[in-house]
Amino acid sequence: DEEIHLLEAADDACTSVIVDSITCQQYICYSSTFQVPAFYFSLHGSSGAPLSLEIIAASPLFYASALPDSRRTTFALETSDSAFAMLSQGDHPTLNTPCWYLHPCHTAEVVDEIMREVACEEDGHGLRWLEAWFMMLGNVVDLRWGHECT
Amino acid sequence: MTTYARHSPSAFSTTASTTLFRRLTWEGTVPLEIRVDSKELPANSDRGLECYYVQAPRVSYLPLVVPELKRFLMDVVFDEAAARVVKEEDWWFEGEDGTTLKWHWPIGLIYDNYTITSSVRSTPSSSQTAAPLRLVLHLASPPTDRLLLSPSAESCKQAFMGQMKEADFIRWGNTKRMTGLRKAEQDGLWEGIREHNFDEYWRVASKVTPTTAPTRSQSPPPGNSTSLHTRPPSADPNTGSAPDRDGAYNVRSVPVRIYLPEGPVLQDLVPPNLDDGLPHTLGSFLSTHLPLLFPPSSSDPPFQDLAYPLIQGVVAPLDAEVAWLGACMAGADGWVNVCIGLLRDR
Repeated sequence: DEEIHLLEAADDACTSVIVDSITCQQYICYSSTFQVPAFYFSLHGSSGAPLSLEIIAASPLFYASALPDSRRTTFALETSDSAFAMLSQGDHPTLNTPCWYLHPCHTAEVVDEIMREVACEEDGHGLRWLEAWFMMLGNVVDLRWGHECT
Repeated sequence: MTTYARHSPSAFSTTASTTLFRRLTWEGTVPLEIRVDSKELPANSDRGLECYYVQAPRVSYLPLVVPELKRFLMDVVFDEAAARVVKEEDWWFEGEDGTTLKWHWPIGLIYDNYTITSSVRSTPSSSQTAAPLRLVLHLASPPTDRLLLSPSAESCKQAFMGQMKEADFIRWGNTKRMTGLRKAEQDGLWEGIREHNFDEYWRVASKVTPTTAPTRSQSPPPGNSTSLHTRPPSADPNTGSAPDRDGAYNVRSVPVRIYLPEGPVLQDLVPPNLDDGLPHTLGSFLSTHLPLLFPPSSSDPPFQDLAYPLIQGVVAPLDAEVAWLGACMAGADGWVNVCIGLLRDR
């Protein structure tokens, strides 16, 4: 079980929307279906209520350029070039709590492409793969958000 | 119709039996007894009549039961004032034991999960008949720390389509079969569930669901299996016939999830055949993942049956082949949900 509870960030007034503080919980979970790590998260406002997809998509958590022309429904954020929704609701695989997650269906191909550019020895492969995964994730999600405010 | 009697491990691999089991799975229903939380009943409502009974299809979903439930409550329980403020998006269901029911789970799974949870709690009923699942309907303030957002029929459809595509990916490593469907066909899958129409659902599902029968050009109309000529199953290595490209035994993994009582959901690769070439059985799969509950051999402790696997409400035999289960007893979303119940001391 490769779940890593990354961070809890309370962020004051970094967004200009109705909430004055946001709690973000981020997780890395193993996707049994796609056999790669997947990024799960939840975003709550000051009252504890989960934020809507509209606010999530507009939040500093995501780079605006990373969420292209997409169709937003109550359940998910879909893009035209993928069978799966890019951002979707789902139960956390072990905590069983409701979360959002970045769909891992294209992870393997994207990371493999990065890995092809990187020369590495056999025994560093796993770590390099994870680093490449973080690179890929870091292009979509601002992993530093919440830290610079403290 | 000519049926080959074979000494192959796959005894049930004719087109007719596949259709039979699919139909039995589809027609499965569970009794629900739904009552509105008495604290939330509008002031002028007619108490005493607020209990709604429904025999719900296992392959359906709670948001699809809501419309008929709403009609009943409007007619019988709510007065005009109350009816005007009703907001189904805020409705949510709770089990007798206080568990919040997941609206994106098929109703059959909710029921079986409740059965196995009961098997670990106080003395289970020894009755053979299925007891109604008693649900409490709340009309407001869904617990967002336990439920996904926006439980509408449309969200349910999206969740369903996501599961179908994931199942497709598990089987073949890509989703070409699902994405190859026209939009109208994809919608047809959900419409089949909404209207509980076997033919409408399987008209499309037969294009993406692996079959155990060699002829896969179309799913035969139920009851009319005399029109097809069956050949020996291609899973048999002795026939020398061309392998069935979309056959259940050629998938790379069967979409299976294991549900433990009050516990996590387990998922792992489930190859249709083992390294020795023999079909992968349910017992072998469970012994691998839950060896203490399903010991690999009778010479291992605890020397007695501790648990049982429940699939579509049926205690499945351990020698059932997982490939067959994937083709014949999966839910409408493509997944074989195995609920593990515990046997109490006798």
